[in-house]
Amino acid sequence: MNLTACLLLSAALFSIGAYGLVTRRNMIAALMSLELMVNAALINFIAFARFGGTHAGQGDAQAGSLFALFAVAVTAAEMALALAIVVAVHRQRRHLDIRELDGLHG
Amino acid sequence: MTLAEFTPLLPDLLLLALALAVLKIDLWSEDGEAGFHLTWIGLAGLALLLAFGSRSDAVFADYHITAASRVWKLLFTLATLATVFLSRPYFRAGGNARGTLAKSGAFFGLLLLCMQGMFALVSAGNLIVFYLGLELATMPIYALAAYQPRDADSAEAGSKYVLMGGFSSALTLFGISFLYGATGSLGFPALEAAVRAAPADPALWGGIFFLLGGLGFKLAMAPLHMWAPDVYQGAPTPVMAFLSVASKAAAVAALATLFLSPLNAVRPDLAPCFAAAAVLSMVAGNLGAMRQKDLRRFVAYSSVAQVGYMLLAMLGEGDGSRAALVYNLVTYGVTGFALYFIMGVIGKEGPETMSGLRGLSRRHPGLAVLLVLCMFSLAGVPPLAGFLGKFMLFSAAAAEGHYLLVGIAVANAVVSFYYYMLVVKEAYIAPPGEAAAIRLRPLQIMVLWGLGLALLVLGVCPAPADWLARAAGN
Repeated sequence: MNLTACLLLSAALFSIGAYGLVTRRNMIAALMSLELMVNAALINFIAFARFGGTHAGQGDAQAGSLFALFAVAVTAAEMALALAIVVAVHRQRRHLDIRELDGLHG
Repeated sequence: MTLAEFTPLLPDLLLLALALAVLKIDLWSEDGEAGFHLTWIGLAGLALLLAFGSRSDAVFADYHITAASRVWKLLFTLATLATVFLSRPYFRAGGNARGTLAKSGAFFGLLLLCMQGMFALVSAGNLIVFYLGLELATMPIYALAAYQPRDADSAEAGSKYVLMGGFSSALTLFGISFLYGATGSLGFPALEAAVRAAPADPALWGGIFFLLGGLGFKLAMAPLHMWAPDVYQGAPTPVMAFLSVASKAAAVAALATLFLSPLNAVRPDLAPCFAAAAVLSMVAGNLGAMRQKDLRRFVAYSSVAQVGYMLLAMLGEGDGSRAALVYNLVTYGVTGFALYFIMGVIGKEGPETMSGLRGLSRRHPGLAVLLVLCMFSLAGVPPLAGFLGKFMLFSAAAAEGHYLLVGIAVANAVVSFYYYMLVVKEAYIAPPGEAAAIRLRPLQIMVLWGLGLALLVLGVCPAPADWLARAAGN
């Protein structure tokens, strides 16, 4: 394992997540894609903390790991909120198809 | 550290205590009155404390209290206070045709938590604090957008906002991870030094690219503004007001915090980016606003155009830009809230749409005059507040020689005059239906007079502008 491999992995994850977010019709699947994108960023943080970045000189390895921890907590809260909204949408419409969400228009 | 050294931190701590108290107050007070009174008294106190309290700067590890951050905080506090007053009739049975909101404690508590996030955002001295502030300033609004009970539109707005907001957070996070990789540090001073030392690092530019994308979503700058019309239209009107003033101010503050200080060294290279986004936002906002029937949707497009004007200031030099941004946000907030209060008044009996404004000049002449003032101010007609706001933005960009852009912006302001006048036409010329005279509540009369006077005073009297410029520039 080296930095390049980690960055390639995270770039792949990010792209898969972005692709899923755009193409999936089910809202839960879209949220799972979102989670993939966040995980790509987390892998970046850990990889940069472990192997050092592209900068010259000594970096702050602790800061990256710490940021990843905070980001995990924030994302968990975000997903809890998103699922609550998913429940609210399902109650109103009895489906979770994003493309059928077209009640709002000019 | 002694206790006295924490005095500069007092507003932030008091806000946290206030937010937690308001969240819990519904347990004791069933009718929701206590939540409203506690919130507005607390916010008014906080505004006084920020304006006249401790003037000393302080640094608590990565949390910096500066004069500039105090100005931003005062702006957020006043915008939230106006939102709280605006939401008053929406919690009253029969106060709004769309339905009554419930659980005011939770509603105001979420607003205050949002504000706490904005406070952290402008005090950040580190990307962790910055990210946490940005998220805390956004996440409660997901819930607030879906707040209208048993309303499919509101749930749809919430779901669209949470998906788009989540996407923008992921972009921001991904961008920050590359910034960290390029500089090896998350603190702003170290970041600034590293950016200055190696401004051409590809990892740095990857980070800046993603970060700008994420913040662009939050700011609703074109071409990343598609979510704004739907969310503004579906959310309850007070939440729309908060989104369009406080939340927008927070996104502008985020942009200014990063790109006017730690990333200042690369900002000249980013000028084409900001310029393109500014022009696209102005054009997309103005074209979109022309054909809207729903007032909340209209506000969304008009605010996209306003973001375009504000992005011009990102092309100017640091202090002047910051002052222009703050002053423009103040004038936009005053004008916007005057319009939202009018929407709240007509929303009592009918839908908050263009046709709901029909016959306003007969139903309440004073309100119709205020509407005209609002529209003139949004279009930037002197001597109203909006004119001076726009003037400062344009001169910040012109000072750096971006004359072509300023020309495009002025042309757009002229075009926008057309659709703002469409609103006035509805109120004065369109044939009115049978509608009774409007009766205002004392709170509404007081706030509407205050906002109307501020519209005039901020446009002709430069003293507040000077004060803000001096405070925000330092």
